[in-house]
Amino acid sequence: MKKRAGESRSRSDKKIDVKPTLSINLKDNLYTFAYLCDEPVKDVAEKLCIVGATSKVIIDSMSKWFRRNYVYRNVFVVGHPEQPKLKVNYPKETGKVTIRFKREDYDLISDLSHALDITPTATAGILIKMTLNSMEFIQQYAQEHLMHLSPERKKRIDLFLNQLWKTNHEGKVL
Amino acid sequence: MKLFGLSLIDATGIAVVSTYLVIVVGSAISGKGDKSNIIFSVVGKMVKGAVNAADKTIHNYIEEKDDEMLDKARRVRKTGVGRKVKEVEKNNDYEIFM
Repeated sequence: MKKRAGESRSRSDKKIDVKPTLSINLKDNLYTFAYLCDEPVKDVAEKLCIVGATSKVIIDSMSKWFRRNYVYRNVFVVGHPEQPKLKVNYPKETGKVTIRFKREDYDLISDLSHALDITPTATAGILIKMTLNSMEFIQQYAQEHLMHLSPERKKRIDLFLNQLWKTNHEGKVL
Repeated sequence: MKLFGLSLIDATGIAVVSTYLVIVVGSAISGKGDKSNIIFSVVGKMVKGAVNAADKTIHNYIEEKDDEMLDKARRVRKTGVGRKVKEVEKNNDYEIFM
């Protein structure tokens, strides 16, 4: 497409905004986790989505919802088009988080959303929920991304996540 | 044939007269105007009320039946096979609560 005179060219590596809707509790938990990790919320959310979309733990737990095939890291997950579409239910009180994905990361999320037959935005929300709720995933994530933190901060993260999982285990809504 | 110790003709006569008196006296107490007009308006109101009541009853009945039929159709459509109506069990496996 030709650009008009005076119109600036957009960057070739321009990031794409995704604003998933989360419950207020989940949003609070994400903000707390980001604060404890000493990183901006958008960065933590982005990492959780990207790592979650290529994590065996997360994909295995999501594979029951796949209506189309999904490929990640040389793994092929078969989807079943005849099964019902995943329905995402939101509570009354919700909030949004802004995440900015690079083009290749957005394509990865789009592939996953295509497999799930939902929007990339909803997929990002689901990934945040599932990653924060998965003890196994967070253990792997911590080993890769949180090892540089001080022991005290690690202990605080551990306490926060244990409390979060305990609350979820008791059947309360995250 | 006797009603309350009166013959049929007497009883009918008394009933007609008493109804007339009730309508006239009642309408005279409640409103103004010519007697014949008052009788017509009172009778009209009574008929209108009866028609409205009947209409409401029929409407409720139809709505109730409609809901039943819709519910039945929905269940049949979902279960599908052999025209058997079964309760549709909600499957939470394909739902996620954020």
